[in-house]
Parts: sequence; C-alpha cells; structure tokens
Amino acid sequence: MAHIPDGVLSPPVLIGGWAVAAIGVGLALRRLDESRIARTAILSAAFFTVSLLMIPLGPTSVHLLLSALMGLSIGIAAIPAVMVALALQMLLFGVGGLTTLGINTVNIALPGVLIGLLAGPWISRLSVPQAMLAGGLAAAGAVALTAGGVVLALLLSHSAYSVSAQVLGITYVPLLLAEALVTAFAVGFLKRVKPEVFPAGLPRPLAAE
Amino acid sequence: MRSPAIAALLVLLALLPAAPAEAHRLRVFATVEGGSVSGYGFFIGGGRPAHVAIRAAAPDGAAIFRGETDGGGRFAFPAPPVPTALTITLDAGDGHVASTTLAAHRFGPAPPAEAATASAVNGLPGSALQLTAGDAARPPNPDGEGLTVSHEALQMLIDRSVEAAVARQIRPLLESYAAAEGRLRFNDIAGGIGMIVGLAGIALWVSARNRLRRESRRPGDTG
Repeated sequence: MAHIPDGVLSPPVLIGGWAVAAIGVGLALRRLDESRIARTAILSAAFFTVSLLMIPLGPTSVHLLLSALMGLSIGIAAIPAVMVALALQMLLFGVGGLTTLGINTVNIALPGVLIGLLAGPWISRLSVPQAMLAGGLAAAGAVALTAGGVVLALLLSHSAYSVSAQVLGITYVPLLLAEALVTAFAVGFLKRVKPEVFPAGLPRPLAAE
Repeated sequence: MRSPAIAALLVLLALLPAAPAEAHRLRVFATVEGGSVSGYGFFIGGGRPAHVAIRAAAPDGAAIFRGETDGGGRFAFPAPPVPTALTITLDAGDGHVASTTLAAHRFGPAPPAEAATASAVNGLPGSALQLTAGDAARPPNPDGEGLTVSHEALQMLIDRSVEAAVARQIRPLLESYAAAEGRLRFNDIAGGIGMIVGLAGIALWVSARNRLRRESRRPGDTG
C-alpha cells in the first residue's frame, strides 16, 4: 500500500513527491559522515528485505516498514536509505514505480525521520523498558503518518477518491501493532547492546571527533 | 540480558510463517475462454481483492466493461464482439492498482452465432456470442459441394471447440506463470542487498577520498 504503482497519482503529486525526496536525499548525503554509512546501508538492506515479506491479511496484504527504527538511529539518512531500497525493489521485483519513487520515498521515510527527531532525544535518556515503549509508540506514529501520506496522495490526485475506512482499518491497525512490537524489541535490544545508536541530541558532525 | 534479543527473534519467527517470501503486490490474471473474459486479482503470496473496481478498456481508451470483483476477487464478462486488445485494470482503492493486457489475437476469430450452443458447456449465456459469422475470412473450399453441413460452418465449429479445449488446457499454465512472475527469488534479494553493500562501499570510498584531500590540504594551509 505504501508502494503506489505508476499511473495512479496525478503529475503535481508525483512532482511534489520527487521534489521533497530530492531535497531530503541532498540534505542527507551532505550530512552523511563516514561513521554512519555502514549503519545506513544495513538499515537500507533491512528495509529492502523486510518490506518485501508480506503478510496476507483479509482483502489485502501488509509488510513491515521499519521507518521509525530508521529515523531513530540514522535520522535524515533514512530518506536515501529508503529510496535506494525502493529503487531496487522496483528494478528487481516491479514493485512500485519510477514516477512514484519520490512520493513513496517521502511517504515511508519522512514519517520515520520526523518521529526520530521528535522521539530520538527522549529514547537516549530513558531506561530500557521505557525506551521500548517509546520506540513502539514512535513506530505506531510513523505507520499512522505513512497511512495518512498515502491517503493524502490519493486524495490530492483524485478529488473523488474514496478510500474505504474499512480497508484502511483492516490493513493498517495490524501493521501498526506488528511494527510497534518489532520496533520496541529492536530499540530495547539496541539500547542494551549499543546505546550510542540513539544520539542524545541532534546528530553532531561526528567527523570532527 | 539476552532475553530481548531472543524475544525479538521469536516475534520475527512468529511472523515469518505467515509471511512467505513473496513480493507485496497486486496482480491481475485474465484469460479468454469460450467468448468470455474471466480471471481474478490476487496479491502475490495470498489474499484476493474482494469487491474492488474493475475496468476493461480497448487501446483507444473506450471502456468495454466496468464492474466489481466478487468475494473471491474473481470477475467475468463477455468478450468484445470485435477482437481487440483489452487492458483490464483492478483498483483496490488503497493505492493498489494492477492491470494486465490481453492481446487482440487472444480473442481469435469471432465465433459464429450457431456455435453458441457450445458455450453452454462453459455456462455462458448465448447472448454473449451475438456475433456475425460472415466477418471471419475463411479459405475457399473446392470440395464443399457434397457436405450437408457447409464447410464454413464445420470449420467454425472445429475452430470453436479447438479454441475452447486449448483455452481450458493452458489456463492452469497461464495461472501458474502469472503467479510465478511476481514470486520473490532469493537471488534477487541477495542481488539487491549486494547492490546496497556496493553503494555503501562507494560512499565510504568517496568520503575517505574527500577526507584524504582535506587532510593533505590542511598542512599546506597552516604551514
């Protein structure tokens, strides 16, 4: 559902999506320092794989996004990470589309980045159980924002578009829960094993250290 | 200490059996059988798009059919009277859209009206086959005088039953091909991950080169 294919959205939405995604990638690449490249690549590969594994669910199917986890641990670098993975999914599996690559990147990565900026500083200060809870909530929030972004993109393209609330409820609520659970455990694990993954404030230029 | 890691692993393992390694994607299968176009939408790996909008359009954009899939994601409608390429589009309403195109030759020569009885086998209304028999060009038959059934009619009946038999036989083949086309292959996943690793390598190389440049410039600036 977050992989909107070609031919669904209107040109202004597609161009807007590409513009936001390009700005995001530009900003991220300028700030991407050596110590974060490996982590960004690992999360990109994780997203690439995990968002292909789909869970059949009633009339549709869902897959994990891990966008909150990306936003929390690599910040704005989540945007190029998601875009690279989406481009590969398009090339290898025909999922999504070239024209929609921009808007799909924005819909998936931007909520993670925003939630990461918001919740990141908290998670670095909290104890492990609290951080797990916060991570779960952050993931749920990111999924909700992604759902909102997809619906908005569809509505902006077709004013008469009726996105059935039932379909959204069926598909996004379980995804929200699964995503929250997986992110909570991932955050808990990283907090114990590698707490420096979650920076205390806005990411400093690590190259200066 | 290790319990969260184990718990996370258990969660993933619990999810995996429900998540076969297949791409998340809506697809349409459609085929022509006995004067009717039938098929279904499916999400690769499982799930059928029930009660979603379906549209069949000719290459010029003219809608041939509009409707909805049934509870099992299936649809069926009469084939267009004149053979034409047909694009069948399924819109699940949540950003999932898929389409497939049937080439004009899949519809074969227009079946004659008298062959409509044969369509009872497929449970189709004869009205689906209100077609002009004369428009299909037939080779002239020099030996046709002695036949009580005109050679043309016989030829059409044979064509009709051969078409139906072939369609019935290759349908499972077409179905499994449609399903296999979107299946996730381990090679592709490994290739994708390899590409990401390669990109990370390029990024590391670029950043290392930039740092070396900066470092080699810095002593010159200070001294």
